[in-house]
Amino acid sequence: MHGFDAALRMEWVRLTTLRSTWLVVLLALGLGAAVALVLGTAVRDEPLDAELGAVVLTSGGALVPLPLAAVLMAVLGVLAVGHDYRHGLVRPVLAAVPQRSALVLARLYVVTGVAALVTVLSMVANAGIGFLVTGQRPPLEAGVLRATGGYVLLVVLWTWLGAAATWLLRSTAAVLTTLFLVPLLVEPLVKGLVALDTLSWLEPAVRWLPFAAGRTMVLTPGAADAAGADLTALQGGLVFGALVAVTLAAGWVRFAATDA
Amino acid sequence: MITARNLDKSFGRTHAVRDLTFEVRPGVVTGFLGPNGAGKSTTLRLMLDLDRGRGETRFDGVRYAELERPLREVGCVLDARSFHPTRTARDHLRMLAAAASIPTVRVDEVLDLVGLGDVAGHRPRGFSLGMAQRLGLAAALLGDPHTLVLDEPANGLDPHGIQWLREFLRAYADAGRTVFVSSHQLAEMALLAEELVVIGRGRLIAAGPVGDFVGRFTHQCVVVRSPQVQRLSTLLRMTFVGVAVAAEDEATILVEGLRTEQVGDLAAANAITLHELSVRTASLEQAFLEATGGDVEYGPAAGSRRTGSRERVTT
Repeated sequence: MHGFDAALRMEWVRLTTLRSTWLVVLLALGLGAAVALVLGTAVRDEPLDAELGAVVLTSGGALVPLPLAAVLMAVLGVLAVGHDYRHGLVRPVLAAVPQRSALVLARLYVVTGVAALVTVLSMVANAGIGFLVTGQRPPLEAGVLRATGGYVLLVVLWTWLGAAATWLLRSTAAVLTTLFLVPLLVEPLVKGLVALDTLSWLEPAVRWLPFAAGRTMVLTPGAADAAGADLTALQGGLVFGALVAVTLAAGWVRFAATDA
Repeated sequence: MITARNLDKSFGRTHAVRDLTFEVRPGVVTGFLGPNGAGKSTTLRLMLDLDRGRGETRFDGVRYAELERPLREVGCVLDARSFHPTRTARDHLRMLAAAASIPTVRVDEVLDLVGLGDVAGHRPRGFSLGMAQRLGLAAALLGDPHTLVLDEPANGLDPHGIQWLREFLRAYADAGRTVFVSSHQLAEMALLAEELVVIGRGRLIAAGPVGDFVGRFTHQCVVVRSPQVQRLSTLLRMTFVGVAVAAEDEATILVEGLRTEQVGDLAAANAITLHELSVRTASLEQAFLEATGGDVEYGPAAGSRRTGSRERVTT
């Protein structure tokens, strides 16, 4: 694609010359390790089976409404786009690479690489911490591999969502607020409201709440059965992926078709 | 050479740029003038494909978005403060240079060229407007482009900086390159530009050499100071049909429609003593006010400005 190589070179320098990038990466690794340490300490007297192993490796994974690495890499995605609008960089950047779709692809490519690398490094660090605390290695069986693979994919999708929503809304504050409020407050609120008789008709929709659906990607089959998950990991991934795809398409169109 | 054809852009009901067509030649500095809200910045963004509108602009025959490495062809500054406040000046330029495969040594060269070599490693959040302008200019010069498009580049510069910028841009144009500069500073533009593109309310008002613009939108007049100015006024009106004579003070008149020779000969033939006989040429500012007086988008009394400027020229 015309302009892609140029955009890729620029994006790499752009991302790596910002203090906020390194801060977010260090936070993802450091907080992930801290959570793994706490979890490992809590379960050190129990056998580290697939379910517990996946939880330690993914710093809590599906147990928390905001998966740690996912949120921090989403912040990376938000900042990757939001700085352009907040500091008026969008014009010099587009003057350097006027092919807007190439710029979108290059930016996604770079943040995807960073997000995936940070997630893998975090899980390697967590495995080491888990071994030091429990003296056990997480079992490398299919369920664990699926959950950890799902975690990498979930983090990448969150990263894309952060970038895409910022292309769409052009406001760092609005996107960050949305990314925190919806999974933390809105989705739990909807789940709670269906308990009311007058809103019980909403119950079929609860399983499709996208952020909750996305977290099923990090569940091992055993954990999914134990939790009575409504969707399989694949279905959950598709639901959350659909949200990301729609947001990305809308953000891409706005960025490509409207004034810079 | 920049060729802009039928540029047109609306924001809702506001028609910001209306069917604007002009050319910018290489080898001279071309000024881009217009009152506040005339559409200058919108026009520049349209030219660089940053805003979506109608019409097209070609830089040496190629649209901006189709340039292989735009920074090596066209250097532009649209907003002086377009940088991340915590990314160092050098890293800001490295980022842009990477897009055009420009080596880092060129980054240091342009920082030295604009006088920011000593603060290359500093974060620009503390930069003054003048320093920010210099950083923007450094970015524009990274690729040693054949064309420069600059929006108000003298804003915030101190007098030394303005003089340096003027000399730099003139030298750049003298090397056969194309330089297109928008500015509100008419005095500065009068010293810098050889050609002008003037717009008002998004419409083209004039394009061409500065002298032609001043001549078209102002009237040259002959200044005559004499102890017998009343008698000379009467003789001028009786002798020449259509001549306009206006009193500037008790001893001075302004004559429009005649050359100095005609006034001098008439005075000599009638033994009238003259203490001054000279030509008064209007300034670029007067011409600009006359040309754009009715096209001020934002201002306290657009209509009165037009009237005022006409009075100033014809008295």
